[in-house]
Amino acid sequence: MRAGRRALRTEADLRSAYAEHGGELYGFALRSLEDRELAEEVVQETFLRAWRAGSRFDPEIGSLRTWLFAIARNVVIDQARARARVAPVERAEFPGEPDAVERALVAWQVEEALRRLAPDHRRVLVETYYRGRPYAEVAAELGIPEGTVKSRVYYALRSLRLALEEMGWTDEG
Amino acid sequence: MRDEACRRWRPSLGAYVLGQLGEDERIAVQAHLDACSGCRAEAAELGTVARLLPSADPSRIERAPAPRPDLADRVLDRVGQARRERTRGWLPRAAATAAAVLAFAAGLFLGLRGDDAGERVTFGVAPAGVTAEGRVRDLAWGTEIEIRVAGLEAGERYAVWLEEPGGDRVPAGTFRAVSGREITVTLAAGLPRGSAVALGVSDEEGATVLLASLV
Ligand SMILES: [Zn+2]
Repeated sequence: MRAGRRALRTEADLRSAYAEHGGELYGFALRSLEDRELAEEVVQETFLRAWRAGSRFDPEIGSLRTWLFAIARNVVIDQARARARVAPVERAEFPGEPDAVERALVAWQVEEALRRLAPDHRRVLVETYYRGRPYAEVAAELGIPEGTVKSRVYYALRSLRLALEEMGWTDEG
Repeated sequence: MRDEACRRWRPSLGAYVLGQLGEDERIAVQAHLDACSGCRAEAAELGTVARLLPSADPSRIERAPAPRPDLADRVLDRVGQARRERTRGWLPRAAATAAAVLAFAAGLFLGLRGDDAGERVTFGVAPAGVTAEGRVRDLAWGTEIEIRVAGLEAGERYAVWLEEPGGDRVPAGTFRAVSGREITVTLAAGLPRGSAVALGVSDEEGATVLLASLV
């Protein structure tokens, strides 16, 4: 009936999809729920739902990764809601709402993109931006000219953009 | 990029979009941007990235968290279990599961079995004492829905619907719960399976009693 074969049909399909995306899905789930057990549960449930809905995956519309993340986002919302019913006031921020999950997804993507930067690039961003340290101080500490710190910041942002794009991020602007 | 001014100012664009330049240099960069559309486009791209930085927590970026190594096996186990359930048929054994209500009558249904039996859905939300299982199947004209349910209030009328991503609901029909036994209802909604994000059942007051995510 439908063109293309069912995604994640065989055990080998599942194994390779897990090897490729399992860690990332776990990272996102953990970032959203702050609970290792629940995050692992999210990964299992995500692959189960993906397997069940495999015939609806269309590689011409999007990547397997994008599709798995769309499923994982819903599983995270379900998990957070289920937890909220059991322990309503345990956490300050309730992550069961789509907006909160969306924020966690962006945060996780940026953190993951920062992890993918070359260490030299990540370092200057962390020192100058997140720690707010002056360029001169960072340059002295690293034993490089201030101009080099500045151009590393530039390449860090460019690489960060590329890393985000690789992860499927697009700027809506 | 060949231009001398571009070569001079472009490496400052990162610091520029992060607001890290001293006043003199910021003014010089701004003057170049006013004159150079290439660097302006570059600054805009970097600016989008810079605006995302506050959402990250720097204490989390040193080390990527990893699941326990056996998670891969648990994923495969869970799918394997579902696969076995699917081939076994979708309820253990229930002799008295005659279709009590057929809310959508068109003679189109050949019974849900075989490979193209659609997919099983689990209701994540169900009141105490109510057991329910569903199945949806993508067809050319919409989505066929089968629900097996027990424990709903007898005599009460229930509405079945599919939900679209924006929250709109497409009705699939209604059924009346029967006392003391499981019923099977088969209905349909004129919405492609791929466009439905949830399957729900609500009571006469409009309160949702059963809800299954379809994504
Ligand atoms: Zn220029």
